[in-house]
Amino acid sequence: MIFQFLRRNAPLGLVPGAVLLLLSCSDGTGPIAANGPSMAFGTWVPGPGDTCSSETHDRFSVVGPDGKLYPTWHPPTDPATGCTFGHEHGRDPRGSHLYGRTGPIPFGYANEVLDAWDPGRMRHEDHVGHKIEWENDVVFRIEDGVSSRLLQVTCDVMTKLHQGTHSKDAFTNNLHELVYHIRCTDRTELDITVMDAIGTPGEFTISCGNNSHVTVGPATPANSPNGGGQRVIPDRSCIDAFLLQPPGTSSDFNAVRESWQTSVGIQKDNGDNIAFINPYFQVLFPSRFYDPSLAGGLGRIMDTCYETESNGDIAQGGACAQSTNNGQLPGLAFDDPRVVFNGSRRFVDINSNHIDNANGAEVWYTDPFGRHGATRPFPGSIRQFVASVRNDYGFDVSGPSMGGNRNYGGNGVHAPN
Amino acid sequence: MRRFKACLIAGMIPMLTIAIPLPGQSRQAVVPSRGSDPAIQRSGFWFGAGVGSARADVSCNICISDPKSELSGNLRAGITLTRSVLLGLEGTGVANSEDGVNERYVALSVVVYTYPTRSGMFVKGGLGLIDYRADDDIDRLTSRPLVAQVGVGYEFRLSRSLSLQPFGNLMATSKGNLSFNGTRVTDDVSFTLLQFGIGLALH
Repeated sequence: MIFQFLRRNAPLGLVPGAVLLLLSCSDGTGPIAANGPSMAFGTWVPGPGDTCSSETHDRFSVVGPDGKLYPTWHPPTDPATGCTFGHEHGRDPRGSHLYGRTGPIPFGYANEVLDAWDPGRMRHEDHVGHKIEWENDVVFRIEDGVSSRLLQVTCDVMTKLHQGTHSKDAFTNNLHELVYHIRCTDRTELDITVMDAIGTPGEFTISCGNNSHVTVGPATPANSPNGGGQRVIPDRSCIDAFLLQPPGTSSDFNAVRESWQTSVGIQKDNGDNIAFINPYFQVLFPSRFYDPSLAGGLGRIMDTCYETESNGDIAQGGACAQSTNNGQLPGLAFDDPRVVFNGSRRFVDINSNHIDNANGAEVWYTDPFGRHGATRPFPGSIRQFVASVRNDYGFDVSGPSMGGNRNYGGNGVHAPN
Repeated sequence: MRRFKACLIAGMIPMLTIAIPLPGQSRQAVVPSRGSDPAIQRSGFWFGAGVGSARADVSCNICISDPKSELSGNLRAGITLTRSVLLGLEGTGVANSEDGVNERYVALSVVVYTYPTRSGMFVKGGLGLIDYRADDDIDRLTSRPLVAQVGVGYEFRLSRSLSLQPFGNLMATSKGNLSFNGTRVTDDVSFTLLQFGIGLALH
């Protein structure tokens, strides 16, 4: 049975013919793209433990706004055959209230547009890192006594960030595709797709440090812009200080949590912000940490579960104990499906959603970084939707976390994920 | 808020005092009531006051609908147009304080009272402005929409010119702006107030 992505309404940003094209794929070949495959399409190949074929995987595709074919969300197991892909993309977007408007999210569309906007700044990301999270009817916080007593803002939120936590990529690379949709009762409405510059290229912030930064090396692309926010990633010092503990002392696995803290503005050509968001994307048990003594600086947290320091310190309890069945499973490789450190436990802090676009146009076309906004499309532009409102009330309205109660692991999911 | 309630009640006292018949009033030209009790006289100026309870609710796209029973009071005065139609101005106050947030409504309306039957029953309608304010002594939410009201009541004669009036009153506003410390939050706020109380009227 082919996976259907049909909706009642035309999806946001997708070509009008996409639905018809999807209908035409009942032979199981996937939708037919008028403009051919995108760079992101067809890049996944099964690993040793994955039982699905590339062909099965590529059926989960959608035609993007540019008419090209993109991969999109799929479950970790193929519903038709039961084979496993070994990776997951987060929460099934079809349950979101926003899905009728957005449709399937094309993975890698902003990366593709960046090629056209600036061929000297190509940035292509792997397939498994695309992670969707959403929640309906989220009650937002109102940071004021009288207002919080009498007012309540609820929102439907859906995000997709490329957040790979298994490779060395994010040690240096700060450009990651972000898709962000929100609809609120106070008329806050955004549909944003950008290449999000998260923090400074070439470096990251240590997860257990006191805002300490580690310079790693040149980013890809080399001319990646600086962005707001930061990528908080563990390094070897976090392993030594918080995971490896004297016997009888529990390890602190929160020290290896990754936190990608975004700061995204949609700007007019003159630089004025018309929208601003700053969701934080958290990964509880990433696969990796930075260790400059290792090849590529890439360490595996799972490996440290078996380490004994010269002073006798070892990792104890928590995710290490869970992965090794309390020490009864020796020698698990980092990509074993039983290993908890696979990046499948995540949550998103929604945070602020500011719009300063009263009486402005709702549809803007920006470059892939959300800048140079114009009301007409231009080569290398991405369509953004910003409600024609101003939601600065004098008190802060911000979103809580979503997804913390979900675990996207299991079903053969393993690093790289 | 306690101070406001005290003022509200204090405001009732002089009005109730006014309700005592004045010397010579009975010598004024009078318009006999069309009500069942011809002894009730309505003429010239009239005054009234009432106290009671109000159930107030606020509605907007981001408002928490949490109707609360609150203290209410009203003062009114006007002229007698015909023996069964009165025209006047009415001020209504509703106040509540809970969890450190003080809410109050003050409405000023032009009202018309009619006595459609020979009994003491009356109905009223009115149109005016309502001033809403909620604060926690630091920040404030405010709104000032139009308000319409309808009500019913009954006059029980206490003397030739004084009556006791149990009443019910429904006030509903247009949609208007709700502002936080002067900054507009939303433009679709509306209020409803359902009052029940008892008053005195001097005709």
